[in-house]
Amino acid sequence: MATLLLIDDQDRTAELVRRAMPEHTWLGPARDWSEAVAALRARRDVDVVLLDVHFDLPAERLVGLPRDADERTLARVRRRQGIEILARLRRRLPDLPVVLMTSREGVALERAAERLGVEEYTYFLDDDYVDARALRVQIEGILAARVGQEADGPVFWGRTPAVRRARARLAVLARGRLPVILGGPTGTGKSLLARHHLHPRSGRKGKFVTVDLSTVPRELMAAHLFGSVRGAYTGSVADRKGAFEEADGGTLFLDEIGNLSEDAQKMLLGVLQEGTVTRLGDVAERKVDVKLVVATHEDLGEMVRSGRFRADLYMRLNPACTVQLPPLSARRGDLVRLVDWTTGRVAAGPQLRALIADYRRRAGLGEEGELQVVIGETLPAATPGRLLLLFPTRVMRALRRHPWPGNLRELAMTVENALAFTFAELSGLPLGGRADVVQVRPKLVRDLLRAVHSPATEEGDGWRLEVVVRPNSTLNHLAQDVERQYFTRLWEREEGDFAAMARVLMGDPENARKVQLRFNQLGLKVRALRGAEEG
Amino acid sequence: MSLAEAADRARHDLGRYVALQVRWVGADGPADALREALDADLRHTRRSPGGDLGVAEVWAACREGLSGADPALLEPVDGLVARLGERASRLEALDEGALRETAGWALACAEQVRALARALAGPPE
Repeated sequence: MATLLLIDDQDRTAELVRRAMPEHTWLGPARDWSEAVAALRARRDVDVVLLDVHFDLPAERLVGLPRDADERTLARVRRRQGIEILARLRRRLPDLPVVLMTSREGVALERAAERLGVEEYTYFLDDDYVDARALRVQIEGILAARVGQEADGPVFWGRTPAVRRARARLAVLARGRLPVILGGPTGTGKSLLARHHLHPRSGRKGKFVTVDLSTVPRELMAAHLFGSVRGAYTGSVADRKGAFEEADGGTLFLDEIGNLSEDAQKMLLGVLQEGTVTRLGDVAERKVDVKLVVATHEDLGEMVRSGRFRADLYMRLNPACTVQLPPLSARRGDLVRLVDWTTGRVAAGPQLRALIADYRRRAGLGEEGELQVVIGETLPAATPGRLLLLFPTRVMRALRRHPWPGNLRELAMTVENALAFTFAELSGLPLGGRADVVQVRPKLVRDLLRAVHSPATEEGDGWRLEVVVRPNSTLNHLAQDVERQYFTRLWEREEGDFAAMARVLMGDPENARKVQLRFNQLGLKVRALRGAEEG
Repeated sequence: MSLAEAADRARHDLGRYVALQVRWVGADGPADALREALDADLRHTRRSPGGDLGVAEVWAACREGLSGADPALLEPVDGLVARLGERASRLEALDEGALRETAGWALACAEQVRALARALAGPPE
């Protein structure tokens, strides 16, 4: 099932598409650009837009109409209004598939759309001959391609342009012999990509071997990677293959390559140059054929400049082909679908399966069955055996605002914890009105997010406050930022009692008015804080 | 409005909608569905806040801008619209054969309007 938005000044097509493809959620018709914007703001999970070209609207509802337009210009803008809307859509949602309902005869319109540089996501549906079958073929083709783009096994690609670019690079790099550097902050899925995307596409029959260099003692790194013979070092009691030999014919993934010891860096360079490894304490060279993938959350170029990483090794690692994965904070457009997708995955995991099965049994839904994530406020009607997991708008708002320092890993953990707590809480309660609906509470999610990242967190008998210092931050800004966090935390602890706050801050509860005044000056709002607390 | 623009408008306002639902149902579709489709296509060809316009009214509005066009291009549409308008006025009384014939005329009308737009099309923008 997909969500499609129809942008059309007439409602006849809307009636037809709803009837012809009832399995999808059809929004609209949005009758002009402003209604389209409102619809896209209200529902951020639109998969495809179906856009008419000719809009017979009054001048004030058209976009792209010059101020001094005469009748002829007005008519032309009406005839091409869909193109104007497409141009505006592209500025906001560059990769949202849009089906333009225009005839193939309208060559000029096609050219205009191509000029927008977005033909990859723009489709044409010959409106002269459109029927249910043609539309279905078109829409399902787009959705099928979309499914391929969105998720691929355990990898969620989404629509963020940076991730799409990364995917395209990986497709090329996977099959070549060159090493690959995966960059990006921790938790962005580098090892997942190496194991589940690069290795299967490398065409290699050998094993996928992974070594997390942040967990290997520096003095053992060389032996771990290149192997050792008996007696090569204290405690080496037998000949031992290293990771390179284990991965021969396959892929070796070195995570946190920035941790590689100097000795091991030198030896790795030798392996890359010669294609052979020599075990520690041995003289025999062993030929290895390994696809090397390395990952780091650090800037290797900077490490080279500061002398912490060998420049010659860096060059051998093929820095020109580094694939950089963006942080989750740069993928907010994907967040709704990511939450949906992540929920499906964690719900199927061993941690939650039993809890969910228990709830399903109590709710009379059967132990196994469909689980559908609903994001927003509108619930579909109950269907036998289907469990609906509701993430209300306020939950999504909290998720959107969160900075996600732990990226995808943190998101998965948050979703998993939220589901675990939700189902655990429900296990002791009687079933509500709609037993097929389980709602994730906003306050629970906020608490979980606060636990991992809060501007003011508990630390010992005090609070840890955090400030972001930007190059143009004034001392006044910084001081206010700290003060704001302190006031917020104090307000929460004193349960909104300004007299109690005044006692702490000024030693005199009589100064409550002054404290409240300062509270307001800092831009803090009691209603907002209460709302945050109540969830 | 130039002739090309008027023809393009006719293609959109009439050509697209005169057989929109009929095409989805198919001229060989179930009679009841066809009657419903013809009702939508011929009696409610264009919908607007001011009220729905039937096939004859939509064509009359389009035709104003096409008065300078070669009559040979307009006559086939005139004829089909007249027949469709007459059938639209007594849709409920039409038997299955007449329904299918009317559906065929609606599709032919859409094709004629497209031919008109092609004939009067200006250079690409």
